[in-house]
Order: sequence, then C-alpha cells, then structure tokens
Amino acid sequence: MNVREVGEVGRAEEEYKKNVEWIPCMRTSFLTGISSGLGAGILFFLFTSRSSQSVSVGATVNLVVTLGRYFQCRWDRSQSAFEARKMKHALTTMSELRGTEEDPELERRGD
Amino acid sequence: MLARTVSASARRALRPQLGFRTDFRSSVVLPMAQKRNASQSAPSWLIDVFESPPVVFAEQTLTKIHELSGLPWWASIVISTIGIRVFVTFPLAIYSEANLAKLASLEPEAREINQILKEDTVLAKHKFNLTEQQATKLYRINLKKQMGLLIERNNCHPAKSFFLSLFQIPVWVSLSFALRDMAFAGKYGVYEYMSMSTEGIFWAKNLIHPDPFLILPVMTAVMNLTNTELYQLKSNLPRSKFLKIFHNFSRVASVIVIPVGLVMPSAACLYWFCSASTATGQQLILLSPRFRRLVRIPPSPKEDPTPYSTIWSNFQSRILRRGK
Repeated sequence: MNVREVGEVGRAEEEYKKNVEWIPCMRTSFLTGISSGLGAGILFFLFTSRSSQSVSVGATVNLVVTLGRYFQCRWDRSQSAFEARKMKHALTTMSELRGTEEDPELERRGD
Repeated sequence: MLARTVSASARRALRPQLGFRTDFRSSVVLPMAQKRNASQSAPSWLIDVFESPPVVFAEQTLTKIHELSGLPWWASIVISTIGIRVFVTFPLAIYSEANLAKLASLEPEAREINQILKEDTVLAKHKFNLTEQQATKLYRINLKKQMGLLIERNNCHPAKSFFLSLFQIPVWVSLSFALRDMAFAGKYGVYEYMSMSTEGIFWAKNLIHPDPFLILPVMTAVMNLTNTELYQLKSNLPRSKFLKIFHNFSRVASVIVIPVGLVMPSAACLYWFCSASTATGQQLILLSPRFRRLVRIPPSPKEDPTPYSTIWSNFQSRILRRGK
C-alpha cells in the first residue's frame, strides 16, 4: 500500500464522518423521523389546541421514530448480510467440492 | 393544427401494437416519447417529484377513476376534482369555519376576563408596590395565559384553521404534477397518454397539448381572480396593510396561470379551472347563514346575516366605484 492510497483512505474516512448519507440507514431514519414528528405534532395540535404540548409530542415522536427506524433498518441489514455470508459460504464450498468425492450432490442424487 | 397532426401520426404508429401495453416504450419511438426522454434528463428533483408517493397515488387514482367510470378523460378529471372538493376539502373548510366561529363567539367571555384581570392588576399594584411597567408586564403575561386557557378549553385555536387550509396545497400540487406526468406518457405506458390525446373538450380535443385557444388558462385566471376578490369583498371590516399586500400578491398569482398555461398540458389546466370554480362555489355557499346552521357551524357575532347583498354592495362601491 503506497502513500497515495493511504491518503485516499484517510480522506474517505473523513468524508464518511462528515456525510450523514454515507452512514447506512441514517438518511431514511432521519426523513421518517422528521416527517412523522411533524405529522404527529400537527395532528395533536388539531385535536387539542395545545401549542406547547404538541411541540413536545412532535419532538418525542421524532426521537422515538428516528431511533426505532434506525435500529429496525440496521437489524434488517445485518440479517440480510448474515444470509449473504451464509450463501457465499455455501457457494464457495459447493464450487470447491464439485467433482470430488465429498460432493454433497453425489449423496443427494444417490450415485 | 400541429396538435392534430402529431396525435394522428402517433395513433397511426401505435395502432398495430395496441395489445402489448408493457413493451410500448422500448419498441415505439414517438414524438412525445422523445419529449419524455428529454424531460428525464431534466433536474433530478423534478424526477423525484414525479416518483414521489403522493404523485404516484394521484396518478393511480385518476387512472382508476378513468377506467372504472368509462368516461372520457375530461369528464373524469372534472369528476375527480369535484369528488376531492366534496369529500376532502369541503369538510375541512366547514370544520375550519366552525373553529373560527367558535373563536369569535368567545369574545364576550374574553372581554370579561380582561376586565377582571385589569382590576386584579390595579389591586396587585397597590398591594405589592409595583411600578407601572411591572404591573403592565404582569397584566400581559396573565392575559396571554388566560386567553390560552380559554382557547384550549374550547379547542378552537386559530392556527387550526390555518393548518387545515394548508392541506389543499399538497393535494393541488400532486394532482397537477400527476396530470403533467401522464400527459408526457408517464409511468404506466402509453395507454393513458393515448386516450388523453383524444378525449378532450370541444376546443381542446387533445389534452396532452397546451390549450390552442388559451381558453382554459384564461378561464382559470378569471376564476382565481373571482376567488381573490370574493375573499376581499365578503367582509366590511377595515383591512390591514398585510391583508392588502396579500390581496395584491394573490391577484398577481392568479394571472400568472395564463403564461404557465401556454406550456402546461391542457389536462392540468382543466384541473386548475375545475378546482378554482369549485373553490368559488365553496366560498359562496359557506357564507350562507342557513347552510352554516345546516352543517352545525355555531352562530357567531362576526357572521353576516345578509352576506350576498354585502358582497354586491361592496362590489358596486369598491370595484365599479358607484354610490357612496
């Protein structure tokens, strides 16, 4: 690894820290949180006419939904990453074993 | 003339393939499809708007109404506009009027509270040796608090009406964008686009082109102006400077429709016209005291018992400059 590559990796990391869009799930969770917070605040206001309380309701809903969406999204991501890893392992094993005596296909076919 | 030749050639090009709606855009190159491709290289935010859920929903609803009713496109646009007005906007407007009427009917109670607070302030001033400034500040804080409590008790905050009136904007925007998207052979293949090009009204048979005689944009502008003037004519109260600026701004905004109508497909213009004229009807009917009692808007001191003659006399004195 030469100097230039190291520099680029460093810059990418900096960008990563700066840019919210680069963090997986962050953008969707922010957007969902903001819109549902606004919606909940306005709805609460329409039903009760309490201005200060509806602001706190909106803020709370925003916080809860942002965090909830983020964790849910990361959970889904990790699940699918796990599935992908299992699939990759299965595919590599299959390619390694194909044509050898340990080929599971042989057993399955009953040859 | 140009419009007719384009749509005729498009129809000729499409005729053999009418059965295969899925494959349309890849197999047939239309003049309008080329235009669509040009609009796909348009700014990305515009594409985002076209693909946003409200616009997609509006498109699907319009298509469903057109398919289920079997009416020509102009009639389905008119019917969906009236449907939205009757089932969504009108109930919200009634609720918002009821809210304002409730607020206005609280005025005597508010005056009473104000009187009590003034007396209390005088007492407190003597009792605690307050300066004039401190006493005024105390009075203001208490007045604000008490008015807030009064409004909360009756659930009639004026901002409620404001939020409800804002709700029309996304509806209007998404329907306009949906119609524009469909008129440029949008997401659902060319079927809607094709039927739109033949199912127009008398002078604008082709709804995907701008109105050749500019009748629709001009009528829309006239209806918008009527709305603006009605809003101003229905009250006898002296107008604030802000209201005057707002009024002039909306006058300009109503006329801007005409140059925009030169480039918008007449489907969207037809929608605007219908929306504006139903808004006029809504504004007029919501003034009638009998209708207000019918939909249970509480009577308020600000309500005009003879709204239509007020409008007429205001029209004569302010716009025709007669009388007085």
